[in-house]
Amino acid sequence: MAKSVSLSSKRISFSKRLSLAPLLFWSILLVLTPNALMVVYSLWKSEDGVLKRVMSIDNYIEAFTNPVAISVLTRTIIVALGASTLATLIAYPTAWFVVRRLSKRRLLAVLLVIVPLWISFLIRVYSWKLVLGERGFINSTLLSLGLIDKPLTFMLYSSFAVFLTLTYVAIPFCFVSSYSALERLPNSLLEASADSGATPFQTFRTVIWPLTRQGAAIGFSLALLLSCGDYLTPAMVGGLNGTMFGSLVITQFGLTNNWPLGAAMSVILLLITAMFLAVLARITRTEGTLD
Amino acid sequence: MIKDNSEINTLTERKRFIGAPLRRLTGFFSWTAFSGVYIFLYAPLLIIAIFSLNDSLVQSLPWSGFTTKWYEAIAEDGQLRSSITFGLTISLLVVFFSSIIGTYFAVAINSSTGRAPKILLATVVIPAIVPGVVLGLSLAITFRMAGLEPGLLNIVIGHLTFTVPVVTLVVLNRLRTLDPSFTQASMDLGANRWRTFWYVTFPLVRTAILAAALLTATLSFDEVVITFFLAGTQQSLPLYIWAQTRFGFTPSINAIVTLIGLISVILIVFATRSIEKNLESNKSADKKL
Repeated sequence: MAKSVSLSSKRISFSKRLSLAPLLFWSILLVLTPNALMVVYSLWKSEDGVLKRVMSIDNYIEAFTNPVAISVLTRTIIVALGASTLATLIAYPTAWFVVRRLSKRRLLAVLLVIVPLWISFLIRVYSWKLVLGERGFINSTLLSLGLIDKPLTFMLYSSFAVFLTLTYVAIPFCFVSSYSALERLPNSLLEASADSGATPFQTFRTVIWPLTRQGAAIGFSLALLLSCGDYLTPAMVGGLNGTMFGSLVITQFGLTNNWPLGAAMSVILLLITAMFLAVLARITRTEGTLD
Repeated sequence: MIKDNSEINTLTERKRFIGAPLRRLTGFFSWTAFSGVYIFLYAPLLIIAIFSLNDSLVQSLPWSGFTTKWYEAIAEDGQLRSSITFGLTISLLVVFFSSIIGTYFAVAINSSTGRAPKILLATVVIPAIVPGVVLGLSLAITFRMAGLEPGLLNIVIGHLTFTVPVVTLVVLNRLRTLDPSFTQASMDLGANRWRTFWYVTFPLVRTAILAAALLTATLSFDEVVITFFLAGTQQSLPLYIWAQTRFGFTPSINAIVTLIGLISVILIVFATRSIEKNLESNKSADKKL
């Protein structure tokens, strides 16, 4: 009796294992293989567009010694960190405001921040071209008001434009994750803190922030992930001065037709983003849970 | 409840010696900053809509008159129409296959125990997280080595790699909130796993699948970078818009973009409504049970 039970439970667990087989197949075929092939490709070489299947780390050396690649990489990290920080600095207080000050219209306020996420990324990036362009909204307004004589040209096609646009597209992500953390913060904790004589700033530093910084960090990470590897934004509003690492990868794929170097750059991009996220996850663990 | 809290808040605030005028001033500033965020979020989008109705070949103000000719021009653009058809074909195929595959993955993961499903889930999710250029290039390399010609099939498979995990996560999230006794009861009554899924589980996760399908549709329909890596000569709509906005320029792009934006928003409002309704009816059904 006991034996037959264990046999049938074994059969069930075997058939359950079998139900996972398609997942294994998918993972190997469409996730592990492409990534492995990319790593292999990054070790090969392209000589005048002809693929040489000889292992070497030349592409990595090239990516780390080429002055253009280095300056683009540095800019990418600075712009991505800057945009993610600014987006968090805007979104976190906004989420706080929505949680604390609004009651009836709270859902509407949240929805209004999320709606842009449903509008194509391409459209949102493109809109900034119309705002910042030489004959764009800002310039034509300033011109017609007589505040400037000729259009300001530093705005579009610059790192600044990339920074601003990335901040813009990152805000909804930062908002949602900050909001979901702040919303769960019980009022009693804040009252207890105030009753114990803490100033608002002390309450924030010792109660609110430690309990919600993980939410803020998740939003920051999403923003960083989005901006580190983005290609559309620098290509649309960045011009030559605002090139980012993602654009370099695409150039190797298209114009230069040096796939192995592009693959090496992709691997570098992946490792850098992974590193950032690991560091962030480590330093922002919450001190205590909310639920 | 909320009202009570705010009363307590003002009480405790009164305890602190902040003068009323100062508080009013900071209140004013925080309201201004708060509205500023919303203006920042929507102004650029409104500017596209305004320019799409402006009777001027260049993208600039002052306003030179109202026109709908940029919208009329859409209908006459043959290349645009074929790119819309191609984009819709991709999205439909992607939504169809990712809904089936993603739901299957979610059910399989949810009904297994141990470490294997966790590891598999983490692996399947990877393409949804990595930057588009990385995913695009790795897939382009793979397809090239497999000897697949760039085109529709490659694009659909490429999109599936990042939409399937989205469906899996959304459906899995719903499955985990369900009471396992439903499926246990069904199995005890002699239904096999397939019948249990079809008559018990599926009706309960239908809304989640619908929500995921909608998300998948927009993700796929708007995708540019991965499509760029995998497309042959035929352009999808975002690729066409991309080429137009970067190089050549016609104001009718503003009209197309405005239309797409409007359609997405209407679709979302409609979908959230129906999903909410469905969730409510599910909840009341749960209560009855």
